[in-house]
Amino acid sequence: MDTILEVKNLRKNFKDFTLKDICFSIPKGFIMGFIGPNGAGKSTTIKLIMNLLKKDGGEIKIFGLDHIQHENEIKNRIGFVFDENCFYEELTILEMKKFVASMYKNWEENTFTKYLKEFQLPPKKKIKDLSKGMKMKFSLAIALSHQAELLIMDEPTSGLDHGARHELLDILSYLIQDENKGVLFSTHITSDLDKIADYITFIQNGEIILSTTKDEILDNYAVIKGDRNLLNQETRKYFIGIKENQFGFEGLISNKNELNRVFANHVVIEKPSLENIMIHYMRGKENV
Amino acid sequence: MFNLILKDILLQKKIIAFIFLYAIIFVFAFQSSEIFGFVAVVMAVTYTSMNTIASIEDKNKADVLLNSLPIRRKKLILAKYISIWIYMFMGILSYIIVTNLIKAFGLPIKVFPITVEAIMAAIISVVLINSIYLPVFFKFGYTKSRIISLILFISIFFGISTGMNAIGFHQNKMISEFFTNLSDIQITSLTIALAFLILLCSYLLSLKIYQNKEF
Amino acid sequence: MKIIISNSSQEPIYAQIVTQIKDLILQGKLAEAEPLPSIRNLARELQISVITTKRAYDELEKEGFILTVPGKGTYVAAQNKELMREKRIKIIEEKLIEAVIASKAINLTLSELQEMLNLLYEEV
Repeated sequence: MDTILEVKNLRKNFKDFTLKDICFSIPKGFIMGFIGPNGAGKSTTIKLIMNLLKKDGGEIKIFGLDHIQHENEIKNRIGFVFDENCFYEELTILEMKKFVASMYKNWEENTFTKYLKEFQLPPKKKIKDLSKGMKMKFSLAIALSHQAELLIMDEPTSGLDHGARHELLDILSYLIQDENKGVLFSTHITSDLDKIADYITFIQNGEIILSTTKDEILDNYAVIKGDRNLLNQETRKYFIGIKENQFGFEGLISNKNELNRVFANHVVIEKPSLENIMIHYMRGKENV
Repeated sequence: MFNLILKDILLQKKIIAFIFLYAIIFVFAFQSSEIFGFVAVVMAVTYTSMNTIASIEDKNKADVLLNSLPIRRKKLILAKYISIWIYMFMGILSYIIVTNLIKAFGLPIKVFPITVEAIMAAIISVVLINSIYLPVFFKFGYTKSRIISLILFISIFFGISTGMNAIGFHQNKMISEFFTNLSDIQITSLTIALAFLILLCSYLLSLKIYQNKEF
Repeated sequence: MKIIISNSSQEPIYAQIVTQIKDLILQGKLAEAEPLPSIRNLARELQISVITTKRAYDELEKEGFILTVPGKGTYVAAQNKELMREKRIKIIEEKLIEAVIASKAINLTLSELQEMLNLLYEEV
């Protein structure tokens, strides 16, 4: 089984929001960045994967197994890291660990102790007395200490300072040296993914806008900057999103090569960052 | 399973003091009744413990944590029902400790030994309250079911004393004859059986509710 | 082994890696049978995606510059000395074509160009 997580036609209806036709998959050994603006459906999708919400349609397979039929077996092999700290604040690290460890079949005490030392986590400290960065590291230590093959992280870096974020990304890149593991990294802070992600899935308003390798996005998409008089009804069609100001315009296109036919050399071409892409897609509906 | 319950007990470290406080208060307050002091203590301890845990879990968004762990929801529910008995036992223990301390210090407070009837009354009260409370809790979560829990506690609290008087528990010949004819063991097993039956129905209801709950 | 990636260059990152490793081999800085870092290792060091490094290595392997031995790793392939020289001559030819085109664009004559070449050959 080469796909660690497979989501097909996932659907969930809410009163004022619908998640539909969600399709993406993560092959073994890679990191998928799950990006989208707040409220796009990232957390909802993850909750559906974990069966915290009941899906209205579609299929989710983890390690090749149906996520509901083999729910417990799968959860034993998944490590979760959330941004809202869901540990009992009153317990100490050791007490919390003891509880969590007893729930996992493959808990590795040695591995946890190793991480405890490496992350410099004080075992007797109460969870409520830990900084946000330390809470996240504790989360991570737990997630990595039961032989988890899939790591699901929901906004793990929000609220962290640069140092802590850097550390987390470093740990992830070390983790993925093992080509049997996979990571689903959901965030709206795309700069984290610019470096570390292999695949990107972009969700907006409950729908998948794109899901492909990061390389394909960065090699083919481009940010075009130029004079506003270059824009007319015809040329606007090429853009996903445009921002105009007094001095010119900035727009995103999905196929760099089309550019030459349209604008020749009158523009500045730049490699996009994931943030550009997200912003322009968000803006796009208004301006183009 | 053990660890689920252990976790709940650990989380209550803070309120141990309150448990003894209740024991003292109710023993003092109900010196007129042989049974009621004891029942009150057990009920109060169980009520406080259940509520404290529910509050803590709500505050810590434990739902998300617990459902991301490889625990069957069935187990989570079962653990809550088992914990009722643990808290009752804690209540009984605190009553014993407090009454013995009172005796030891020779304080001028009337204390009564624990009788079979007292235990049975306590069990039935606690079981009644929680059999209704737990399904509500599983359905609506802590904040919404807090009121229900309080109402239940108060009504059964006063309900028992008035109920007992209404039935003329001690005065009514038929009932007291019925009970004196049964041996302690029979009373005990009858009550326990009833308690389990009520809890079973409640458990099955909670199961149905919680299995499909969304977070 | 020195590899520097530019994020701002228009050239895709995998292509940059291919070019640089190719150059290192052609210049003899990477010897025959010398082991190369694994694709994951390289990705981690350069802080890029594994897919990128894999693509670069696949390309290099296709062109015969490197060899992957399953279970063991990736190594610099034996380079045919003549073939290498030919490849490098081809690169020079390409650069000269560029120079010729650029010269013609500003009407630089052939003799002026040759004079420049002589000077540069001495100086550099």
